[in-house]
Amino acid sequence: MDTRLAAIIVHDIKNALAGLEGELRALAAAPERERAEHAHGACLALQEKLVGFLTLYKASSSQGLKARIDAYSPQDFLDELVGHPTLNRPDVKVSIDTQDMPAVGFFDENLVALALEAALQNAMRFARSAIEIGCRQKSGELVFTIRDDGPGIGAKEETPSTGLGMNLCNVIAEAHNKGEKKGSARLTDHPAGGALFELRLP
Amino acid sequence: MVIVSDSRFANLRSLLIEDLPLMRQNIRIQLGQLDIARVDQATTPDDAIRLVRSNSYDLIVCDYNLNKETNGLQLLEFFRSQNLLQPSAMFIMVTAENDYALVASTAEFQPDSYLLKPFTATKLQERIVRLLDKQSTLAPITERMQAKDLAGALAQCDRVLAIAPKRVMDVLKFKGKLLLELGNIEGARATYTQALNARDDLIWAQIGLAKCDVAIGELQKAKTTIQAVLVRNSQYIEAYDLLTQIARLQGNEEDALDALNRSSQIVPSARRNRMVGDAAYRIGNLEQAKIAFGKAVKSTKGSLTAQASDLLSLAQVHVDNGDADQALKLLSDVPRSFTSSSGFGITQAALQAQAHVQLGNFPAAEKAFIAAKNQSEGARADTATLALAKAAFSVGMEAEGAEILSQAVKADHENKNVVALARKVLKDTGNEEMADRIIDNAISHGSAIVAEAEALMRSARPDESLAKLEEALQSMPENTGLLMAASQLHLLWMSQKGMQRDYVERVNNYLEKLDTLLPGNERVAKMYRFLRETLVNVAKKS
Repeated sequence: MDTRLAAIIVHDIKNALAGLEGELRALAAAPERERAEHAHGACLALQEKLVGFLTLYKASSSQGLKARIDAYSPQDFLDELVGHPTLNRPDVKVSIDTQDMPAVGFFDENLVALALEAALQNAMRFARSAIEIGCRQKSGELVFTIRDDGPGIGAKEETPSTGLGMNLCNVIAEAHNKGEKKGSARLTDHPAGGALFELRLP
Repeated sequence: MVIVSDSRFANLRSLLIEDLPLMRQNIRIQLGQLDIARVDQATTPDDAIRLVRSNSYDLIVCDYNLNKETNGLQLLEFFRSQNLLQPSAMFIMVTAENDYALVASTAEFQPDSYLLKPFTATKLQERIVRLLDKQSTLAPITERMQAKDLAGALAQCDRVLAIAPKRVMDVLKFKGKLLLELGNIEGARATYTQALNARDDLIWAQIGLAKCDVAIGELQKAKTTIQAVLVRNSQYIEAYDLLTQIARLQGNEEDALDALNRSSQIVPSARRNRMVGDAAYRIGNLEQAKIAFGKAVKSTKGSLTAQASDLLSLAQVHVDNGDADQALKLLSDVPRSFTSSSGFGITQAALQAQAHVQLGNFPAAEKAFIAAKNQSEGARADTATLALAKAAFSVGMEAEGAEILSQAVKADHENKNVVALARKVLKDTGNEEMADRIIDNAISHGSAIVAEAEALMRSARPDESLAKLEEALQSMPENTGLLMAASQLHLLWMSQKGMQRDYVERVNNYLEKLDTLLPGNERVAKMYRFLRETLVNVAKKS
């Protein structure tokens, strides 16, 4: 793994930890349910980030990353994904687009969950009020999509992204191979506004 | 965090296997949040084995990293291969991202689900709900399979498919297996092809096609298919097992050993090493047998997964190798738990007798032989009896050895493994010329009884036919050939003369025994089918 990237990620995690420490200090002084739930969410997001970081590290090791591909129902899989409580934005509505969703898809549920959780965290930062997740079969590939209603990918942020998320999505996509074909991940502007994340798996 | 508990959770009996106290407490709380009332906890593999032996669990959540000796997958392998888990038990393996890919892609015994650490109670809940849903959707198929009603299970496959299209791959897997077992090879082929049309790199479906070829005797074609699978996925253990099976069908034990060896390099489990050791010993490759049994003994030493047979096999290899001292040393230091396992004392003493002969200590040899003989409760078709026969020959009691060997073969005259090992005993003790007299005679003894019973049935003396077999089974209760013939002839009797309650019970007993003696055997499956058909036909007539 690129040492520069590793340093950026560790730095990012350090900052998140400092934020969490602040919240816990405040909680110790005055217990408050809402703040505790927020701290818990921040803690889970931090865990997720560390798992993502270590997965990325694993992918660049000599063993590489290997997908254990099996048949899953994308609907069940996405239901499990959005049921996850790390999405610390109660004001954003996350919905699943069931249109054209195949009954069965072939992928590694744990790895794809890591990728989509990272992409979802990213979408959460930009979304105004809604995020839509979908899955469809397109020209021989299984395509997971996450679309937000934010300003699109050119948007500036106060704390810019480390690139961990997209890097992670790319290595997970590539771990899904079929014959000569490999998966891919990309982030584009949706023609009707907002950003569109796609994870394409052969 | 709001967790909506599922009413199905309250009745789940669950076991949590985790060595780290903090992690264990965490998962324990999470299971509690789901309203799972009963959560037993184990901190070591041995604890887990003790609990699983004395309880029956619906859900097991197990960490992959347990201790140096045994990891979660080895534990699962032990549970499954020893039939310690209920068929409906759900096994969730918890792994760190670091282990996940490697663990999941090489596992021979797959858990029902993998969960990456750390996880939330919600995630655990979703996973369990999904497993429960899957289980209840597939229950119409799996329940009939457990009841040996293969045709009924097959009929359910299409019904389940119609209501649960998302389970298509699970159902096709079952359907292919059922069609193969029912002998409908073309149907099985069509099923596997259907799965491959959905995704052409499904290994289980490719291996399924190879199994179809094996079933119709196209061994070379099957081999080509398997080799192609292994080029792309060298870790797929079932492929090596099918290669082993093909090599055996071709009578090529060397190739069978080679395939087993390759599989044990990928999954170096005690069970795999045991399989290699047995195969190597059968063809007289003592060097490989020694290494393989040595590994099996070493990797399970001090653990509840240790099996007495590994130590005995290794001792036998030492004796055959001329290392009598090493054999005696090994046999003198055995865990107390081994001494209660069936046939252990006999084999131990019989091997000691063989070793003492080698060292020229004849009084000790004779004493050990007598000790072995005194523990024997009659000859059986097992390794203990074969070791006893070998000891008799070693101490110079040829007539006694011949008699024991003959009884061992008679006890299950169609058991190819026992027959091969009995021949080996004669060869190893320099008595090869006795093979015709002892072994061939013992085999004909059994087949003559079957032939006679069949003749009686044909010549309209059905009651005498059944009596003949019942009598023979009194003295040879574990003879699979006799059990098979007895099942068949009892069913023939009923199809001619109508329902007879106690005969149905008898046949059920025979089949239950056969199922234990020959697990997963195709002929036994067929006999179950014959029983079912006979009962239906007889009921129609009356």
